[in-house]
Amino acid sequence: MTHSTGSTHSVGSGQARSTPIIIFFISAIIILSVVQTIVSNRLSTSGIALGKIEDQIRSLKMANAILGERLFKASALTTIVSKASELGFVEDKSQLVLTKTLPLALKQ
Amino acid sequence: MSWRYRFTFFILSFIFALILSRLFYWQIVKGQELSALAQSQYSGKVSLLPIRGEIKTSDSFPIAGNKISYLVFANPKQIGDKEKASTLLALVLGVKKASISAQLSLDRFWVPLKSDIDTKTKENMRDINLPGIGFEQHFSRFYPEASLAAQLVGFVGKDDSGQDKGYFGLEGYYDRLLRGKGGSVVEIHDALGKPILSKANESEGEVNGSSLILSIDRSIQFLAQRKLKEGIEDYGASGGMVGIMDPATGNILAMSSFPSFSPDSFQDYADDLYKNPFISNTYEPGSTIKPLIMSSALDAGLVTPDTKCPICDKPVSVGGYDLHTWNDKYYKDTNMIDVIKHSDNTGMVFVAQKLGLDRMISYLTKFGIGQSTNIDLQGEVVPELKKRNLWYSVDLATTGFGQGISVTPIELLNAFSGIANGGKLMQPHVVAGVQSPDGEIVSIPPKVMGIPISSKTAKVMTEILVNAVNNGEASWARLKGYRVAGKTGTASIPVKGHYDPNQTIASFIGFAPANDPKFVMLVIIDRPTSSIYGAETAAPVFFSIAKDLLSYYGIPPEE
Repeated sequence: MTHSTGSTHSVGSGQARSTPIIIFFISAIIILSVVQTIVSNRLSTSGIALGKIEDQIRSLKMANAILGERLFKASALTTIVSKASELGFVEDKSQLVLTKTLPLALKQ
Repeated sequence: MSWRYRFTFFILSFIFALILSRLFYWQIVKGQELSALAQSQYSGKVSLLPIRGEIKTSDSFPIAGNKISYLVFANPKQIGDKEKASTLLALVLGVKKASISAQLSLDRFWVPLKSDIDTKTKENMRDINLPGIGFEQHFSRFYPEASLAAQLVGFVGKDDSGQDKGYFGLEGYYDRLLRGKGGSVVEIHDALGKPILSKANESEGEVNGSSLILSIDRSIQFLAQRKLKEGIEDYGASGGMVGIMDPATGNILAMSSFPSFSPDSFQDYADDLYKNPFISNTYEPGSTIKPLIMSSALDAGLVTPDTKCPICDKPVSVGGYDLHTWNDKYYKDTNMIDVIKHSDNTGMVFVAQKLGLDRMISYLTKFGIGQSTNIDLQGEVVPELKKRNLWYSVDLATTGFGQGISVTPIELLNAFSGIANGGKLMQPHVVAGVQSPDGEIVSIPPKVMGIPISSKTAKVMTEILVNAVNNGEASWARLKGYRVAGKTGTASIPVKGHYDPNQTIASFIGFAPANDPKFVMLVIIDRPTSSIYGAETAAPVFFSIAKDLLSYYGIPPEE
């Protein structure tokens, strides 16, 4: 009887010890699952932001390339000479040179 | 153990074995296939084409740059009214309607309609809002200065696999450096096709092409090209070329030739226009070779400027041929200064005979004649000197005045720059530096090819050439106040074993300022019709360019 009672007491105290552990593990599993769900959700929605950033980079690069093309076209000597001619500019063929010879006034 | 336990154990073992065998099937037998299938569902591999490097002049201006262009394609299965779509597309794209209709009638999901359309055309395409039309963006070559230095730059075409490939000139010579290396990127995305941040895109292998920074001065190139074109028109010539070089470094400052082509639409031009005649054409240099022969004899101590020519009073007979002067005027006991001044062929026969065959070949070789200049351009031709046993006595005599010997313009320009540079011959080059995609510039240092003559000989020869400019046949065109060293040349064109008396290659080679040369220039006018002489065609073009060059460099007249 005594033995039987002792055995019953031992099983009861073992169950009491394992219950918090089980609760701990179950809680951990639930918490980690929730965390994973939240993180995954965040990551997948961040993809939209990333997509937007990539689109922006792409459009800026394109704008830069288009502006570069226009800039080089406008600053090409071929274009400048043609525009200058249209505007009535003529080539200056005379050269003004300051020689080492002393001016007449100083010579005297 | 009761039968229940055994039964449960058996069932569980069976299920476990079943799972294990299925896992083996999925992971080992079908592993690769399923992995590829999965990857195709959540990721896409995109090929990345490298951006071709630019070709920039010395002021970092891209004479061959890149622009965004598009390939227009269609999915014929998504286009309802193909007749209407063909009409609209033909109008916007500027393509024949029949060609568009033919493409749209194909039983395919993807057909190309037109490549290399610009951004404006793409916007126009968007406005008509046709279903089943798409665009593929890529970079294509863009030439802001149009056909400036076209034969120097070359062009970009396609290779056998449809990839960009450079042909001729710099595009051909530096193709591997300019084209870079293609790569690929794996993009991980979610069910909606949006990229996932946790799996960053991994690009591998892609390296954009390096850019070339040339020694070509854009202003000088533009100036030379314009003046050459005017000269060709003025003298009714069939073509011409000009090369300008810095003798101290070997930097090519300008190189131009006509007729030329437009690299934007190279397909519309004849194939023979693609090559750069300044490095690919050979011709008999005529009198422009005389300074090389004379300086060789001066350097060898066989003649001095005051040496009198004992055979210059009449035509010279060599090997059964009578050799005349260009104008049949003969000067008894003329000295070496006047031989160059009058461009006296009989005087040069005397010098060549004094020099002898072995020394002639040796000096010409030292000047780089008959050898590659190793200029960094695709298509350089090397006309070799004849083997020693094939030289006859008349060949030695005629080589003295530039007949019976072939050179390329670059060979002659480079050899002549040896005189301008105090006897030191530099390797000509067009690329001054290479710029990596991350902006780092590696300069290419000048390289000495040899020292064919002493600096003392070079100085003496320079004075003889200054005298030739001031008092020779081209003195009417000279620049007053400047000391320019130079020599005219009128080379006959050999046709079917004899020389055509009415067709010549007129040229002028020179450098300025004579005491500290900033440039050496060779002007060649091909078959001028207004006059056959270099003094009356190439020389005025030379001095016209030289005048602007001296002004560009800010060099005032000395006298």
